[in-house]
Amino acid sequence: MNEIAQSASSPAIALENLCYSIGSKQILNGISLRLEPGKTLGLLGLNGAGKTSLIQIVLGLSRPKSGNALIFGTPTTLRKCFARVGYAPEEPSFPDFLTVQEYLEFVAAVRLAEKSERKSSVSHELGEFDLDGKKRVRDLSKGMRRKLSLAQAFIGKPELMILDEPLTGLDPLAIVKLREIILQAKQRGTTFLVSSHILSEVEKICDEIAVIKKGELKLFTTLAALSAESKTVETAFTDSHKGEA
Amino acid sequence: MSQIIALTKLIWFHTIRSRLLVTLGLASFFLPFGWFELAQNINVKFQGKVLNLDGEQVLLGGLFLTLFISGFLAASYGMWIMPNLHSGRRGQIIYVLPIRKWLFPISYAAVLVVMLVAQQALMLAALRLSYGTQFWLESGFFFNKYVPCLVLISLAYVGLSFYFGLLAFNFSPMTTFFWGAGTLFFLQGWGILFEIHNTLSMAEYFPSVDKLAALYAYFPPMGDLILDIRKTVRFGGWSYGHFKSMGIWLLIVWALVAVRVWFPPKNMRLEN
Repeated sequence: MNEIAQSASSPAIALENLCYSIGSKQILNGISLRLEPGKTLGLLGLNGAGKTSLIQIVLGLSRPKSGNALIFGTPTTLRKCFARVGYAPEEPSFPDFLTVQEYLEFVAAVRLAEKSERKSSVSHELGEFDLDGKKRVRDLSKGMRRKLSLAQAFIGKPELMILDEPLTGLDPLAIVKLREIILQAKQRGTTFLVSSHILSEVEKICDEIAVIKKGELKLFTTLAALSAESKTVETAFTDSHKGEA
Repeated sequence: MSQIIALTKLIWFHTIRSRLLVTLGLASFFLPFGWFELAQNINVKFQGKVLNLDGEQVLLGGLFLTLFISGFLAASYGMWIMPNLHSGRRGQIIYVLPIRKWLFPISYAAVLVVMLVAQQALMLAALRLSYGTQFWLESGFFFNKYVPCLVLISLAYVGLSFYFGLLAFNFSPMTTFFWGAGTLFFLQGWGILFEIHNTLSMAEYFPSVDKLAALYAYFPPMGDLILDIRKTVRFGGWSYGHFKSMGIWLLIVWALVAVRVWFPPKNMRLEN
């Protein structure tokens, strides 16, 4: 009961003074932010700014040098939070000896207890992302791999979705479809952390943006606040990077 | 429960869709079959007397051949199947699934035991084709002699496979092969050396070997495996195998693999 009460009041993601380095290279420097449940945060930054490193720390895939990362109030090192998280990585790779259907069935079996629920969830995601279940994973194109990555992340309707560059490799129709899927999930109360370079799409789906520049959080604001200042995501992003070529 | 079934199914698919393991499966039938056919038709002349191989000797030969192939199976399973889901970018996507991490080594062990039993079944099928069923059913050694051997082989090779897997989580395939095979040969060499030393009562000539033998007692008893099987097939029962120490070592490497799966290796961030 306490745990439920705690998670209900906890932010979906809470980062506190996060520092991370690889060797002598500082990747993230003192990042603090809170993502409240039901909100969608767009994580923006140039290539190599530290977006993927931040996501990997949130998921417990990398260990920060200092600072804390919590998902629904639980340290990501404890990993019990993974039951509530769906993750689509930037460069997805799957067990390539499986078919698309077999892989989705595996993810459903891991996430969902009810057999009937698993079946309907797999067929729903196959339809949503226009995937051929019989195709071997190793035979998928880059775009289809991206779709499979997104489909497996949505299985079981996790409360928190972390999507790293979800639009890369998708055709225009698939981008429109993904936007619809994300907006529907937002209506259900799903929280999203979306890393992307496509600022126009970020503007359409996000409630908040965080701009990371050379490992530091340069801007963390809501789209409503930007709108009040008559700014767009693009202008806010370019303002954060003034002086750069 | 659905998690472990799904995980075991996934690893099973990987195993049976691997060409290497299919090749080993074929070898598990044809190598023993060749031996059984040969054993039926050869006479061994020793000091002027003609010795025919008896049933136990024939089966022992088959078991040793299967043991040899199972070693390759266990090593390749540990080197390629075990790290597959945990390395490179594939590892990231599997790692964040809400699977209890200690289930992975259980599923790996379950699939490998099925493979080992299948290998033995192929060997017995080859025996059945050459000698018929009477040979081993009537002599009454199936439960008294063969089953203890099978348990011993399973304990030893699941442990060996976990050892190779543990190396493969941390090192390249070449380094894994070098260290894994090197450890195996080292332990087998020691085991045979100490058996000769004990059998020939050479302690008075080489007293320091006793100290080494005492040290060897703390190592995994892989070097005793062949000797244990030989004694079990000859005398029967459960008292000739190092079941307890094999079991303890299996638990140790199982725990180490579980810890390794729990803590993501650095190569998870690299391109695979």
